[in-house]
Amino acid sequence: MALPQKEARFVAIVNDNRQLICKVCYMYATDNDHFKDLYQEVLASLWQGLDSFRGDSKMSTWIYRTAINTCVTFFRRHKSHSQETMSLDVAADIVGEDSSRQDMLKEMYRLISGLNKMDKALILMWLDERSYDEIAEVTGLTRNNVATRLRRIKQRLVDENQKEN
Amino acid sequence: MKTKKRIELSMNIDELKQNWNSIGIPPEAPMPEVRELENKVASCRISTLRDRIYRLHLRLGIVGCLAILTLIPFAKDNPWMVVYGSLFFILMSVLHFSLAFWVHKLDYSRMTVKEALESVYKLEMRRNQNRIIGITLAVPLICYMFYTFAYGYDIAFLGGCVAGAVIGACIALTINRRAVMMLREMKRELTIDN
Repeated sequence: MALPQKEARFVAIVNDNRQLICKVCYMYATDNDHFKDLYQEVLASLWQGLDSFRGDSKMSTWIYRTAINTCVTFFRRHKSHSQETMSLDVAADIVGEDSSRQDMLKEMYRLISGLNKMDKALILMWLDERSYDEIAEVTGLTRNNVATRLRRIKQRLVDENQKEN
Repeated sequence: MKTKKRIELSMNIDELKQNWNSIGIPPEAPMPEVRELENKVASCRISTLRDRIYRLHLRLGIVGCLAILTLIPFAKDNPWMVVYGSLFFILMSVLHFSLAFWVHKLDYSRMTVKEALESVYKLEMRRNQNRIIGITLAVPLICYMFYTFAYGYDIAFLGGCVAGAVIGACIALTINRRAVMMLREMKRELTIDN
């Protein structure tokens, strides 16, 4: 692919899918600087992988795959043990939601940040209403395994919340 | 004192899904200079962590090859030290080149999340293996060099070698401690089969 063509395609893809890329980065970021690092890393991975995208899967699936893989493999040595998470107020626009919903969304986001990287990927895609088949394709787990793990994750989130209250 | 308000997630998580999808990116969110970033990426001015690891091991491989040249002045007086040293540097170069090309072949846009996580673990395992092989072979080489320099050359030469070995050991121990911590964290993250 010629460079100007590739550039135009890349910018169009990023513009159309910025929300998706940001959601993935926010899910794995521990602070603003980490978010910026992840976002930059994801964009660079998308750019590098653009030539190998043949349209075998949906564009959104390919972006999910690239973004999640980049985030789960990105290790910051000096801050690798941080368990902090960004506040959902900063991460997302939830102003339109009513107050109790806002609180519940924030709480869910906080609990999700405590999950391991694979579980975060699963719940993120599930929340984004991806089918079990698509989640299985991206994660490399079987469809049944995805369903079982998601059931456990949801239960764990509720249990964790009840334990804290 | 900061008090944390606890919210009960008593409602069905499935219901929250709809709300989750309605949230967007706020204008005040800490977005990087997106346009500038996209332009930098498009003009190949930004490299990924994978590229940086690839380049690091490529450089280490080249340094290993060049290190052989430093042994040439000793070839006449101590041929065995030069042979052993050259073999050591060749082996280390091969290990670094092999790791560099393995990293270069990784394509996160085609791998599954499971494979990507495993690749990070494999990478750190291989880096640790290289480190262990390097230390195991370097210790007898250094001892042999000490012995040679102590008896065949100026005493200042030996002093320099000892100082170099101590500084090198301190750096190696620090790097190794970090690598072990990182490996432990990766193992914790890799609970894929649970």
